Amino acid sequence: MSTTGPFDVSAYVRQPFGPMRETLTGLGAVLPADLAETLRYVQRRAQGTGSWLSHVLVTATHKDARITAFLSTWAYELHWFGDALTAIAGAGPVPAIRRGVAAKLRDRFGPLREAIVANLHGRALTGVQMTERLVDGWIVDAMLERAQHLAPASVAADLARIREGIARQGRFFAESATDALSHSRAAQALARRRLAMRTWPIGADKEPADATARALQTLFGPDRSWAAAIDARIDTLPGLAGLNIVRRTVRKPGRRPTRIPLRGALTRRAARIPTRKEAAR
Amino acid sequence: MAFDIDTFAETSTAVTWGDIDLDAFRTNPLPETSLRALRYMCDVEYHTVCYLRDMLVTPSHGDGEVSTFMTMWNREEYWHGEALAAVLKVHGVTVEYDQLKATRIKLGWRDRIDPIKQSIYGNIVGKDFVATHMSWGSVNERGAAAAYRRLAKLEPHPALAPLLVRIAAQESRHIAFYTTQAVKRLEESTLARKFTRFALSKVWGPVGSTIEPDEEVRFVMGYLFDGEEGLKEVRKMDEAIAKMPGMTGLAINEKAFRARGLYADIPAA
Repeated sequence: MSTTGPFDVSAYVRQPFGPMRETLTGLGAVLPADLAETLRYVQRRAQGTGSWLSHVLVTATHKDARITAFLSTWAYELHWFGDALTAIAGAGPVPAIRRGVAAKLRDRFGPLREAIVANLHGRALTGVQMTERLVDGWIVDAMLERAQHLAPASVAADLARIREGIARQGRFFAESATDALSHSRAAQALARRRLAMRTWPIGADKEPADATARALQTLFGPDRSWAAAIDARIDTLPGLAGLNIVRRTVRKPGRRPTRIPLRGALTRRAARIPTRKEAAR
Repeated sequence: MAFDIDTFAETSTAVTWGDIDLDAFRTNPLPETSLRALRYMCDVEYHTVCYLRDMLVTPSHGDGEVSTFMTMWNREEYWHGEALAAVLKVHGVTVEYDQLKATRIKLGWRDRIDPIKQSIYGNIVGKDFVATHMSWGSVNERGAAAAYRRLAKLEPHPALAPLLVRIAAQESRHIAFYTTQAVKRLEESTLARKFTRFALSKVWGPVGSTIEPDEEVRFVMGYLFDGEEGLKEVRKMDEAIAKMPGMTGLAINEKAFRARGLYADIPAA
């Protein structure tokens, strides 16, 4: 599959990453307990795509057959990346979370709410969803990259293969997100609001905040340069400068951001993003 | 026999047709009627992601086994669409992403309402809705597999029949999963049995009837299942459905087909 030019969905769906267990080099390698727990954390993110998909497919995005063809294969690949991580890290306890009434209502009525809201936002929402996955891919890739340094060489080689797959998926999300954001100010505004309101990485809100905190601490310790680097990449996306969402995640891992009225507009102003009139001038 | 989801996932593959000589259609093309049926089936297979959407808004996606199955199932069905599209392409009928998008857009408000409806049902019935979802899936997969087998019998083209048999074999694995899950969940809950019986007898329609014009549904169902032979297949499907807990006496396929004008000269059982 070519790595230049528009992303070729037909080629991608024909050559997905499938079951990896038989070709893993790191099977049986002894991992430090905290690293194994962190890899299981990443595995749960990879195999927990159903919830995100349930919010995405109720929107106009599901009408786009090119995107749904991609997402069908993307979910398949993530399933097997998760399976490989389970094989490498071994089984372990899934952190129990006590979900309050608000969280339970969100779980239950989230897709319903999204289906209704989607009718108002239309295509702008597709751009937001593609951006979400792009950013999530960057965060997960940074986690796996650091895990490579902490793991034995045989495991690092397996993680490198998973990262290769995530990078390929990222090219589709980058292309779709950039295209949508550069053509729609509504998509930019919505993306600013939604990205700032999310818990990162995607799915972290399904676990106790401690689980995300431990995973980030194990991998990065006090280092925050990785977060600044991803924030800098987000800044380059059309209309998304100044969000600083990954640095916020490091400061308050696993915590749902507080809802602040006009957050999108305020951060937009702080980041000195030109208004439509200014851009026209 | 218990369904092993891990084995299913590990052996889940995209259906292949590289070894089938599709060029045989150039010298020996399929008749218009079979192409029309294939087009219908192709649309339905590609539409699976929309069925997946309707299921994801219910409590089903929270179940690990169901979630793994749906990931594999959705991809396998996508490839059924691709395989049928390859056959149609040799006949000059192209099915591309943009056309599929246009078809989905044409579904209009009904398509927007569906996930909302599903989500409301799922929230009212709660966890027991998974039983309905599994039963519904079992009925639909049974219909799809029977349709492929019937078409292979009616149209024993050397390049078509083997492909349809391969697709039907994958559909049979889907039937096994859905039915195993449905039976287990229906056995466990009276509410699940009552709601599923209500949904199947009052809301269910033949596969594809929510996305294709009624004229196409009548044509394809008539082409594949009309006459004594077709009715025998239909009754076999209904017998299997009636064996699920709480579904005794249901004959939803025969009822739906008779409502579409089939078997007018054959008395009901």
